[in-house]
Amino acid sequence: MRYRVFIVVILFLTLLPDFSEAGSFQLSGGADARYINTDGNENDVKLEGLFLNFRKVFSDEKGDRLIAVGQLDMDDNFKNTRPYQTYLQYKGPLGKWNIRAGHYILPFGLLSDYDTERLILKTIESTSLGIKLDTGIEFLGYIKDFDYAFSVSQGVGRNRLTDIDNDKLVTGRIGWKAEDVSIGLSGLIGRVLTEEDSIIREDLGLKSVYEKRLGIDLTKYAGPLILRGELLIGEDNKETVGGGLLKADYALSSKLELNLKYAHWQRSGGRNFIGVGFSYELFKGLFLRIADEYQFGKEDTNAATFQNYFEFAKQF
Amino acid sequence: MRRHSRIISNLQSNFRVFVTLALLLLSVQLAYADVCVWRDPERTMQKIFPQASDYKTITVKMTPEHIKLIEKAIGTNLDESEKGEFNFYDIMGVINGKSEKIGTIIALAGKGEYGVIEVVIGIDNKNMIVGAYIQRSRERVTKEIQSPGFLSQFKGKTKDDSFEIGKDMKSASSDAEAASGIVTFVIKKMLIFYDELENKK
Repeated sequence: MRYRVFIVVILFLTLLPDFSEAGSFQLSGGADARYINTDGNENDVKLEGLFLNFRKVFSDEKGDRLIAVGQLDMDDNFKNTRPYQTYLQYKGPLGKWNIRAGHYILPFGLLSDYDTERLILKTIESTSLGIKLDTGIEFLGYIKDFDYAFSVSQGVGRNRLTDIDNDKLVTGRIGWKAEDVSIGLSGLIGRVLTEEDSIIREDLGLKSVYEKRLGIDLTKYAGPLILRGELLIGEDNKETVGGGLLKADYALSSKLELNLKYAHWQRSGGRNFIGVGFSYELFKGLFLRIADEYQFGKEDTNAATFQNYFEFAKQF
Repeated sequence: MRRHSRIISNLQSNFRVFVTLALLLLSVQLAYADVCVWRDPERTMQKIFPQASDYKTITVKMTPEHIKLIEKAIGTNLDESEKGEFNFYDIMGVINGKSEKIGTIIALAGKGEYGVIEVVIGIDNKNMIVGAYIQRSRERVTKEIQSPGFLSQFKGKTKDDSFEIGKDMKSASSDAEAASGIVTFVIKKMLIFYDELENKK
């Protein structure tokens, strides 16, 4: 039933003739279909995700004031329907301060500015944090070349929207941004109800973990090359953990990009991830991606993925 | 019996996946809009308009008449993604204690050799460029086209000025002639878009 409603909504919104003369309502969405071969013998074809996002800006006579963002994701062949970033944001004058309330990506490390949800080679939050989005309140903004963001949230991630243990999760990042480089210092402390499919849950065999993290992140733009790095250290239930990520995306032409990833995480043994892939934009909004990610150390596994990713956006 | 129902369920699930993908692909041409996002607006806004107090997003819908006039003025066809809607940003400032529009920011992307080159300009209320910067570029000559020496040449220009590289303006460097040409064309295009969509409304 949900599926039918969703299809009708997509059809209605995308095929409907333009009915608005002006405004600042944006509708976007996409589909992420994948073929995954694991260790050469397991094959899986699935619709990894289908999503629909809206963004509406409300202005007063002085400028844009309120931003409403909503996104619904239907993952794993429609088995998992849940909200993605869904929040209200009040923007102070010049955006020097903002208050955001709802379900949002936590301001921690590379996550604050780089979302790999629909990429094959992802950042390491599934291993390092076990949480990416959470429900809460965030205070964010900038002072000259410095960004800041502080969040107090439920610590339950995408598992649910309400708290279960009354232990809050506090996350924050202070960053410095120049023309072609940004550096950030992040911290996270609190009890986390880890994501069901996260590696941290698999490692610990526990649903919930008391986490402390300190991290530095770096993003460098150098012509065709974008280099991203993250180093983290902390504790899981008082056990010391740490690791890092290095990602490089190199534009080989206007349509073709080479993607490289190396990550290491140490938690009662080490996990290493090496990934290489290509992304090709067949035409605007339609990407074909292929990548191989090899994991070794605590677990040896190899996943070759072919992805067909399509996205669209429409303003009303 | 259970196995049979599992197979049916899988077939239904796969069918749904393919129907959805087919519908989404069919809607590409209808729904795709190349929204060149003005990234990090507040910070860059103050670089171009130091006296700015805030900004307001304005979205204008393109009509067939707009498209025809713009294509005639730029001398080439617009990309499909440019025919839907166009965004610009009214920059507000405080004049005599009142919040008033002091200029406009426009952002648009051009196709470079290594992906899009996102260009942002600020124009005053007389439609004269007060500042330009390259928001995102992956060209090998990014440093050159971002240089103040190249970008400052656009200051004071309007849509009626000539923007020819080698004649009216200098290339960012001898290696950056193609990229300089793209930036120049995108800037001229933004001024024409704004003139057709806002000044003549």
